[in-house]
Amino acid sequence: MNNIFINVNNLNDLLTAKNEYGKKAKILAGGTDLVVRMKNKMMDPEVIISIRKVDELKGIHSKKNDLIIGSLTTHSEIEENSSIKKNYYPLFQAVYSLGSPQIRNLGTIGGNIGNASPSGDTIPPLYIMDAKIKLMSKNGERIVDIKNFFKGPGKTILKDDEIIHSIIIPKGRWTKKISGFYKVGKRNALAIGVVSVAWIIKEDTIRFSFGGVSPTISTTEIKKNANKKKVEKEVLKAISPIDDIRGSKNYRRDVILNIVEKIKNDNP
Amino acid sequence: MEIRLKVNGEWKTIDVSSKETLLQVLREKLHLMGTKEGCGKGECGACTVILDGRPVPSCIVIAATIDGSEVVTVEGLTPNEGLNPIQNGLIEAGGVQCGFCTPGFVVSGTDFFKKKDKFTISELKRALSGNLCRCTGYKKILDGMLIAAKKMGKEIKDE
Ligand SMILES: Cc1cc2nc3c(=O)[nH]c(=O)nc-3n(C[C@H](O)[C@H](O)[C@H](O)COP(=O)(O)OP(=O)(O)OC[C@H]3O[C@@H](n4cnc5c(N)ncnc54)[C@H](O)[C@@H]3O)c2cc1C
Ligand code: FES
Ligand code: FES
Repeated sequence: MNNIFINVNNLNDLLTAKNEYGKKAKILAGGTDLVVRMKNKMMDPEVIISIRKVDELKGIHSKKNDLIIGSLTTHSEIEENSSIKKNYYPLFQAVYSLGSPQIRNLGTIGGNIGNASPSGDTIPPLYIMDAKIKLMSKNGERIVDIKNFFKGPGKTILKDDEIIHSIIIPKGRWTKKISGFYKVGKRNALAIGVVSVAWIIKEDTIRFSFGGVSPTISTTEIKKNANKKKVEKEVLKAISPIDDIRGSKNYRRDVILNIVEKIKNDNP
Repeated sequence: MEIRLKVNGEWKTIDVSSKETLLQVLREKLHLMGTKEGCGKGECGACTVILDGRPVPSCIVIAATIDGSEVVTVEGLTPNEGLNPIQNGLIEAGGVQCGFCTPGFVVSGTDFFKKKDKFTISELKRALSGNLCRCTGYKKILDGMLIAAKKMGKEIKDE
């Protein structure tokens, strides 16, 4: 198909274009997901709205109670932000290990969320930090919990005229000492062979979120002093891994259990 | 549609078709053959160019979406006479075998040293980690980069 490309230069034009074309139009941010899909003939949108120049969607801003990350902020920009490295460590580790330097320079956090892959690396960290997502359309805006944003692999609650404006993370001190992100399996363009875990310690409890082992991200809390059996029970309640060409259900389950056990042992 | 791109310092007006990638425009319309196509899906780094100040895979950038941007290719990093220190270093160390990956490494390496006067070996390795080579085993590429770093007066820090 001969796609129609629309380059918008500001937020207002973007919202107007999305309002006009609705379902027919796909947003292109960095394009590291969308363009690869188009080249693989998995997708061929009629209208493509390129948002590269929409400055209102870029950058990391510190507000009184929240840290705001514009949807068009690249993984490299997040990785280079000193406050994210210090106080939002699981997110730092996720973008640090995402793709390659070239992919991090192009790919955005909004695209990672918009893509709604069960193994999108930024999503487990955003889950355990209780992030919210600000959505916008010509007709207004709404803020939703990230936990309510995903409906399944590739599926979100975004309406046809809506865009992801920004990610809102309540201010916190999730430092290297008490939190982290761990991923197993090498990621390439379209493979979803990875299992990922983000974790945060809160007093005597460790909060976990898991990527790649359920249709969307799953979470659980485990007491530090829980025995192996109890841990296994809690984790298995949270996840629903599947068999596919990249890994079996049992493999995914065992990897998750081992990572959880390791994190627990490292943080007695 | 028509787009304007600043390529290696010069503004160009280019007529691009739907889905045409930046890589295709560079090679087929501007005849800049230094940039190579390996995997065509963002995984190998052979097509790396600097887009608005950052190395990116040009094979997954749609030209129609980057109107007004600035692009630097390996040709733009090569002096009119001779070669740049990284190119010379790679030759000296034997870091070029078939040479298909070399332009991508030159672009990533140049960008790294442009932004850093002091560096650790792991920082350098990380900056090159998006470039794949099927021939050299990487050791000689790294050696070539280190020869270049020395020539450019860069300082290696301890890890
Ligand atoms: C070689 C390679 C390696 C990769 N490695 C990883 C990896 O290790 N981990 C990982 O998580 N991902 C990886 N990816 C996938 C991809 O790079 C990331 O998901 C990236 O964050 C996508 O961002 P983007 O801006 O490029 O998205 P795009 O491709 O531009 O968009 C992706 C989707 O989100 C939608 N979208 C984008 N922005 C918005 C917005 N503001 N509002 C509404 N919808 C929007 C688009 O319409 C599209 O459906 C890899 C990709 C490649 C090619
Ligand atoms: S050809 Fe572009 S990354 Fe391989
Ligand atoms: S020299 Fe042949 S791929 Fe690197």
